[in-house]
Amino acid sequence: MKVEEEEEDKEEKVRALLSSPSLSPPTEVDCASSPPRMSLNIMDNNNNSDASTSSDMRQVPSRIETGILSKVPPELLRHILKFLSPEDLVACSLVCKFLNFAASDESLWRWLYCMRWGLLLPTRKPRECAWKKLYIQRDAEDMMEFVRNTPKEFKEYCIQMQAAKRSQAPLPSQINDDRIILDKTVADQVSMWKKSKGLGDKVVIDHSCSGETCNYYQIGDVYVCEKTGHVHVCDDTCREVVPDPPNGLLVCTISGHCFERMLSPSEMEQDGEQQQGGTTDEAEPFMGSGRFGQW
Amino acid sequence: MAEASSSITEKFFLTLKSSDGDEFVLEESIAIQSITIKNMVEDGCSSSVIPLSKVDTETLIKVIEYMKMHSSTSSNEEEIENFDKKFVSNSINTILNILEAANFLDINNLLELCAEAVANRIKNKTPEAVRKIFNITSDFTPEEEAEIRNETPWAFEGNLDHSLD
Repeated sequence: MKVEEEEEDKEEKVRALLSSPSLSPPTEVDCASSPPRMSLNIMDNNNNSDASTSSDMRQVPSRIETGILSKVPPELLRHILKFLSPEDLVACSLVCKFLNFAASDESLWRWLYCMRWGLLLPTRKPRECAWKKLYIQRDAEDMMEFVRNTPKEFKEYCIQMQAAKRSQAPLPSQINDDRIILDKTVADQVSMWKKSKGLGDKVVIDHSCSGETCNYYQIGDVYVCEKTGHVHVCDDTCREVVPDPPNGLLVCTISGHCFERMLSPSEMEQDGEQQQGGTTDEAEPFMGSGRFGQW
Repeated sequence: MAEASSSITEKFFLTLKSSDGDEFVLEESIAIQSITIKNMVEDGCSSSVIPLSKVDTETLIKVIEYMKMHSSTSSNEEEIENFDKKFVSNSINTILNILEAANFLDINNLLELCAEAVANRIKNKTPEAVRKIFNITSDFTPEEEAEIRNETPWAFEGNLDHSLD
């Protein structure tokens, strides 16, 4: 068991996952290295800010406060939301503050991003902003290019086709296999290993990986189940964490790695202020590339 | 460990006690689909009654039904599939209770099944419909809501489902 909270450790672990140079977001934001901070400049330059700067929005409750979802432990929400499409997640964002926070989770959007645009090229460059924002940006760019290159009479049809991609949810059969978010080099290593073990690309359904029952072949922070070839990526957006009440941490059921428990944005703010001596922190619920995104 | 105990011909039984005080006797080989229970068995804490203080009787009955159906010996694939289909048609309240129990008992397959069932009730819905289904009151100010809509204008172009099914 290892607690992943050291700053340096995190720095090392920040993996460069952004492939397209055309996507380079404004330079002011460097969330990967300083997760709790959000540059104010970018808020002013860009209407599509990740989070509101208004003080009201900071007071995000630590769970859904009304209705029957209020009894669901916040950590479980992600297990529900991982079945949803980008469009569904955005609808969830408008339901209430906490669901907005939960539906903007890094691991969800990273997955959806990779599902739509494929394997990432390995690069050492840190990712500059939240996956949700990356998704929305690239979607907009795609749409513009698509429309530009389409003859006028087909434009409307093409827009519909393009928009339909946003309603694509992960298939239940893919959902427990992280190979979709690997970068190319690791993906090749994994498929070579799988071939050597006689594991095909066929997805085995009805198998739940768990450190209790499965053995894993490990490449860095990538765990490949020896029974099924299912891939688990155990980095800062690990999807397999469950709460471990005795110590208040989150534990990955596959690797046994511990992560800090999910903080509500109001807690983040406090924590951030303590850490940084009260510098201008904006509660930033979507930052997943650091300790605050590990839930 | 687990395999060893279930391969012995003699059957072991465990007694599970719900938060309402009802007791259920269950074959150990079935009950250890719950990793929580399996760990207790391995730690030797299972000789007496296992109290499940977070699971009420109604929910525990459902969980036991599920574990019995999914224990490898008794059912074929088609049966399991039909059972699961019917299982997820329980009311959303029941599903949420089972989801919580599955989390507490650490039964991964059941957790996934319930999580997907809840997700299916959210799919293709408007925010208003989601609020109604789960009885959530919005805590956004109109400005905050407008701000989020502004971030992702495309999410509101499609024909989202207003129904509550």
